[in-house]
Amino acid sequence: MKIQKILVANRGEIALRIIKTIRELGLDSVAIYSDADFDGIHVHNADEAVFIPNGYLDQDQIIQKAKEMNVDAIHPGYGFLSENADFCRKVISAKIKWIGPDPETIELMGDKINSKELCLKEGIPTLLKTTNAKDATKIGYPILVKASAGGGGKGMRIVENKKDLDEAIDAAKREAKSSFGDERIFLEKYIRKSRHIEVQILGDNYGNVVHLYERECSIQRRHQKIIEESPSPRLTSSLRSEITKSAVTLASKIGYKSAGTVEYLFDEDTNEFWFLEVNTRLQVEHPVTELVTSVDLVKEQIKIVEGKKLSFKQKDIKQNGSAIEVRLYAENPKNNFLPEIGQIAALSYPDSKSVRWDIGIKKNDVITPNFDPMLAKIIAYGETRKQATSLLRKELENTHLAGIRTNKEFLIKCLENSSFKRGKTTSDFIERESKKLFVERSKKDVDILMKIATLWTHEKTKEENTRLAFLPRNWTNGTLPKSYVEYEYEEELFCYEYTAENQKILINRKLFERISTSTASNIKLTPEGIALQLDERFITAKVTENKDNITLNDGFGDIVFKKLPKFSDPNELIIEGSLTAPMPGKILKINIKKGSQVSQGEALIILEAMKMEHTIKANTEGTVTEVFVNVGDQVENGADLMKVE
Amino acid sequence: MYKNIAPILKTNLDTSSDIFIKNKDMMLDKINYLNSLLKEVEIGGGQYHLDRLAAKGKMPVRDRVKNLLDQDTPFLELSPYAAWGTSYTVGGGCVGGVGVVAGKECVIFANDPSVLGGAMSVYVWEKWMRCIEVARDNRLPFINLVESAGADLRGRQDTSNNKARQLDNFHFASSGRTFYEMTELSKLKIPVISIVFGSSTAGGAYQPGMSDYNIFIKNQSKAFLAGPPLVQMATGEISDDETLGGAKMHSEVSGFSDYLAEDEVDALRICRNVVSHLNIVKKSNFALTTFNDPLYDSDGLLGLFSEDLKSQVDIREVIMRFIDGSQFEEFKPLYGPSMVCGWANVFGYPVGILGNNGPIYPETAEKSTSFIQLCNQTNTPLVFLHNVTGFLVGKEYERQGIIKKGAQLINTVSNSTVPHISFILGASYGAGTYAMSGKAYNNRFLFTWPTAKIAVMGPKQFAGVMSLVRKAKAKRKGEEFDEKLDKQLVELVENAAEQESLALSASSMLTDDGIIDPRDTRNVLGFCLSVIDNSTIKGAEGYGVFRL
Repeated sequence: MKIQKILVANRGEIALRIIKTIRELGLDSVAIYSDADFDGIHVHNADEAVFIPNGYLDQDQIIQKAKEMNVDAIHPGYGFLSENADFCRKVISAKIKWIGPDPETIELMGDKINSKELCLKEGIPTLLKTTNAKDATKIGYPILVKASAGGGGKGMRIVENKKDLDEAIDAAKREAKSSFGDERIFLEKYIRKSRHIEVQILGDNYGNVVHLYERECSIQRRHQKIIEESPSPRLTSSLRSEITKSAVTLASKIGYKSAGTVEYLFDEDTNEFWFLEVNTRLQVEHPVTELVTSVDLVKEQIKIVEGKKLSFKQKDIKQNGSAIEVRLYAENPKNNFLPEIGQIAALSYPDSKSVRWDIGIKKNDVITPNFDPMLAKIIAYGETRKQATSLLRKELENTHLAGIRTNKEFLIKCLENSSFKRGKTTSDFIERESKKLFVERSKKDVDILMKIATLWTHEKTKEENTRLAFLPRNWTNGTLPKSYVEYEYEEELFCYEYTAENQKILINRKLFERISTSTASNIKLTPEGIALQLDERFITAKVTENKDNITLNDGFGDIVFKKLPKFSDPNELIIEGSLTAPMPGKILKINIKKGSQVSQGEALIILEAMKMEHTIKANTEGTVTEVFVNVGDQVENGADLMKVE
Repeated sequence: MYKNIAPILKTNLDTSSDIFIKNKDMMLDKINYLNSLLKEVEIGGGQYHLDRLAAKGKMPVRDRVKNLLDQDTPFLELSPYAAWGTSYTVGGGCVGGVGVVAGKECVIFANDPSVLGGAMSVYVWEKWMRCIEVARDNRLPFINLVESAGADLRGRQDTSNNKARQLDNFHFASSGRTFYEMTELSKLKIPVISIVFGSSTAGGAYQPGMSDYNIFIKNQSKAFLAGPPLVQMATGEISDDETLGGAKMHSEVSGFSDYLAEDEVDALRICRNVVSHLNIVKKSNFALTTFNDPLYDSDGLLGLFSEDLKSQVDIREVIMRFIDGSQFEEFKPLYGPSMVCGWANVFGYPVGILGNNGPIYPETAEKSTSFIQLCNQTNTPLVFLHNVTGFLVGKEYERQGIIKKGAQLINTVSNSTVPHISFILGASYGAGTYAMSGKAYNNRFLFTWPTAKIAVMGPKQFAGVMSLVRKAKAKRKGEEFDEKLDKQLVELVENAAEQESLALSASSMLTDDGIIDPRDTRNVLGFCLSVIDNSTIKGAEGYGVFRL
């Protein structure tokens, strides 16, 4: 059956990526959007778009609209309803094609306990696991507590010793319940030095199953992948054929149709691998596979649904070169990678030839706590892993993104890391290398960048302060102190003052152990920033000022300085001794009352954000003198929660 | 925007000549000395007092001014060299000038608490009056940064110094005029804003008392008619500063303060907010033109004048170095050539320029009179460039009616109602000073070059005249004339007259708005033109232009 019109039941980068293939095939695309996404990038790029008032999980509305618009098929993307067998069935019974595997496959593989039992039967190794806490000692610590219906790290806990087990199980259950409506959990062994390796499979309606090699996604934070690549730098060809064979065996056994992923845990020390789960959807990290195999997975998914046979055999599929993907998140790596919200004040990137951007945002978009904070995936292809790494690093370094904190600079540090370069990308990578991954730009660089920021500000005031603008800036026939700009960076205060002399600007750092004076000339504002000569070096930088922050990109990544306003906002009163929200979220539980005595480290408030629970603990001993929030309140990042004296 | 189509002036200046180089060295020496004075001005009452104030969380006065202004905007300071050569601190213990606050040009007058606790010396009083005048004439908001111990009760301090004595001839009965003038500003709908930075006691209390807006600073501002000691003496009541006249009391109880600021910076923020709501619309009076820089380097201005002012200066060499594109439309170039008159633009603003190219002849006076009338007809501001030894004297010129013709010119200058901006470059002697719109002739602004000399006549002539008078007196009385003593006296008088005539003496006594680096002439003039453009500019009415 020929498909002509496809509804993409998703948002952001994945919706856009699917729409692109639909367009390339000459087909028609329909996007859906919720209140928050009226101006979403996927809405602008689809042929048609339809409003779903209750959002991306409203199954009946989506099907209803699809019928009204004569849609032939629905592509669910990842997340949302992509692995919801009920929805899949409803779609099929509405005579609309489902771009994905059968509901039975989704159901079977969606249940981690059942899927592992199947593997055991097939002789595919799986990790010992139990649903009974009493069996914990049999597994041995550390133990991973996981939601049965889980994914994406939600409802997941690592337990180091017995005394923490009960609390972890309770928390995991609560999260599982709120995320998936299913509080079942299980326990399994946690392998410290491991890799996450997965195999991409494709199956058609005629029993043909092929694999498209592996992806390694071991670098994770908060149990979510941030760097993925293909091929894995660790697998030897024999290990590769072993693991891919295992995946094809399993997929064939269940008659897998469409694209899917078989995930394994790989033990770095023993070369053993264990089956984890099958993801019955297109994965976030699918582009690395596409780049090394030159297969468009979405295109293949559509062809399969149209009833076509796979057009290639296993031997036709080659793994060429190397592809690395990084996930750009709105988050603060220094605050335990917790999500950030804000508005994209500037976004520009080189979009180099060997780099693919799967992006879901544009300038001025507001990133809210309502959706996943992933902004984009950037994937580089190289003939070698080294080349791909270098291309990706340069692409990120030249990407200017302002207005919201992201993990971009952290990702650059990962790509620069010598352990990463050597392929030592085991799951403990971030923890192991953390000292090197959180280093800042050198003091000298910071000094130069602050000078550039100051000069940019100086040029910018010309545009803003137009009165008497025909005179040289800061001109006086008498005498006044020098103009200055103050910055805060890494909790340190910086002050730069400047004077104009003979078409040049002398700029120096004040209030410091060492004064460094620079001379700037030929200063010109560019559409995105500034170009100038600073101490005999030609420099260009992209600059964005947004609220109190100034973000600069000099071709070596973005750096953000807080520009201290000369005058403070009378409304900004900081309450001393107050505890603030580490991220935007909802108040789930308040353990204390006004007047309570608290000891240091005591859990005071539980905040739910991004479907995860965060405990706010007392940072000092004292008495609670004020509680500013109530259970159920939605709070902003930095909001005062309570005051302890 | 219109295009400037006036022809370009050509230079004949040889900047490599010995005389130019000698003059330039002399000028640079003078500029260096002025710059060293500015360094003194910067530290006001001295580091000890600045540190003492800083310990109380107080900014130096110039930091207050700087932080009040819009970032990177220019500042036209008025009389920075006030009180030079007296026992008072150079600068006079206060800062005055015009700057940009929240996009608007404002006059700022600030007491310097590091100098005698900000007490009102006669120099403070003079500068304050001048600032009020600039605000009134040009209709600019007037901002007071108040921190004053009140009147300088010590009275006359410096009896040995002529200048100080002249200014110190001041009776209490004459005081209070500043308060009168502040209320007058308000009546003219020129906003008056005060930030009280410290104590403002007795007379000082009327500074905010006569303001439209008052900003007080928490735990810092105080205002009372009488402080606790005086109150105790007068009524026996025991009180403390805060309850008697603290910022909080005045903001919450007496209502004397309109805004209570957290600290000094916050007070400046509030002041900027006040200015931003004043609903000032600046509508230009002029057909502005697009503009280019002068074609000739302003360094050429440094070597034109010699120390004794005897070098012949073609005033066009000055004009072409500060006007747009060096483009000048000269009026009557063939008639009365000792006054160069003509039209030009400065940063796009149209101006009529009168510059001396020698003493004033009868026909020079006629031509100048006509030119001033023409500029009044077209509401064009006038720029006077002084380098004049006076009106020509002698039988022939008296017969030609030099008094009549000079009187015509002085009459027209007096009754001209377009703004006058004067620059005294070299000599400004005798009635020439009046004819060129000197200090007494209601200029909007008057600046001097370091080479300026202002006097009734040249010091040498003055000493010679005095010698002749003495000789005549001796003859009349039949006394023997002591030639040797006379020679000594001539030298003494000449030196004294020379000193009195110098730019710094004039600046010290606030008879100008300051001495400028000649290279800054264009910037100063441009600033002044922008300032005058805040008021309505209208030339004199009554008669048409006389064909003279």
